[in-house]
Amino acid sequence: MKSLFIFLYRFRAFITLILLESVCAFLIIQNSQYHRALFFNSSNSVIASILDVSTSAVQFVQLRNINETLSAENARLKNDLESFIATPDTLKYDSARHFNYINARIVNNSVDLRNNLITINVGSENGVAKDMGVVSNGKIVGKTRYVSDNFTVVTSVLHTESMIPATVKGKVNVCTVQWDGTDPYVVDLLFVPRHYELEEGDTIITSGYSGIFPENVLIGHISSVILSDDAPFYDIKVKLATDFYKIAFVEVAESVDRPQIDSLQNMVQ
Amino acid sequence: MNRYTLIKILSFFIYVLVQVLIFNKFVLFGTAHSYIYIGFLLTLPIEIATIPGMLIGMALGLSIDAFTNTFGLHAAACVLLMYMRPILLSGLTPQGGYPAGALPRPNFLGLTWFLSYSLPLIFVHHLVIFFVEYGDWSLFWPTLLKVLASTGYSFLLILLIQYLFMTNARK
Repeated sequence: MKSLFIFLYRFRAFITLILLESVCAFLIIQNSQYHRALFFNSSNSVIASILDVSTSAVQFVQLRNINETLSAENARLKNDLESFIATPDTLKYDSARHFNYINARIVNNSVDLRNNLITINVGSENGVAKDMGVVSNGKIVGKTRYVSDNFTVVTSVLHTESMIPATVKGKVNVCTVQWDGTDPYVVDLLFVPRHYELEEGDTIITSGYSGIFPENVLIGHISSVILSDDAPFYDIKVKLATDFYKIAFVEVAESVDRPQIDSLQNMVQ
Repeated sequence: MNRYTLIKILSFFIYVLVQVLIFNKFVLFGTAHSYIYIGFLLTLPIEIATIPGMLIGMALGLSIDAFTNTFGLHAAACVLLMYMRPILLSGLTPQGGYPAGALPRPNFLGLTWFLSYSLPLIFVHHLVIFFVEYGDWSLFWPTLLKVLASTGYSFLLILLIQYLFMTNARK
């Protein structure tokens, strides 16, 4: 017994190392697997307010850029409105409103890590909940992950766990967009069977099947298509429409149908 | 509590704030990240024992993690760094031992000494950060490039901070 204590005492530093590293490993795994909303993340209002200081400075410098983006979006929406009023297509007209949008500003954003998260300045008090789609100017941004009263952490498209149900406009109905972790301007398009004919420049949009994102949110355009002889699926690279270095304002898409869809799906399970 | 301890405690918070507010945004070419906050751990007094050192490392790492949403990642790297630090320090002891009151800084022990002391520690820290963050080996070479570029970048910035702000320390 005594020699055991002597042994433990001699290796106390190493044992403490193992102990502390186990605690860290537990925290890392818990954070990545269970999406447990820990108190200490950037949706915590103190932490988010501190981060907001430096982001505000950066956004002030980018004001010109931000204004141009907003005015472009304004023009696009006005055009859409004009065509909508001019040609009401009664066959396609769907009077139900499927999504409400909540406007938000980015408080903190990372682009160059493997798992990138974005913090925005709206929270449950503004009606944000977990697993809502986030878009910016009709282009994809990500999905809400942790929600506190006044801030929300968003899983960016540039994250290992981001799998976005997508369609190739007019060609393929079901496929998935995922980031491979290297270039923040390029994502992979997965699960497109080889019998489809695709070209560079084809438009990739969200399918809306998950109920998280609205339909027709622009993801990007195909930049390269490779089909190896023995592969069941295409190897496709997509140039992202969203420039994650420049986004400053986003909209959170709150699905009106979501509670209905969820309760139906729960009944089936 | 003497003046030095007080300054050290204050500099803990300054390092955290400067890291999360400024240096987390300065990423060169999407590759080289700068984690200057480990400058705090590198310049702790030589006499600090391994276990208290690791606890300080854990506290600093978790503070950074709270801002970057990577809970446990920086803490794990800092704990490992603080475990290796005393080993490296005893390996690098100059002839006749460390002068009394010396801190592990370039202005006390010279640039060459500081280089061979801090580069391995920064490298190990960054190795843990990037490889644990990526979580698999599929992107081994791009990740290693990130580690090497970031090690150089962090080292230069830490050295710069040493010469810019720490010059008033007694020689």
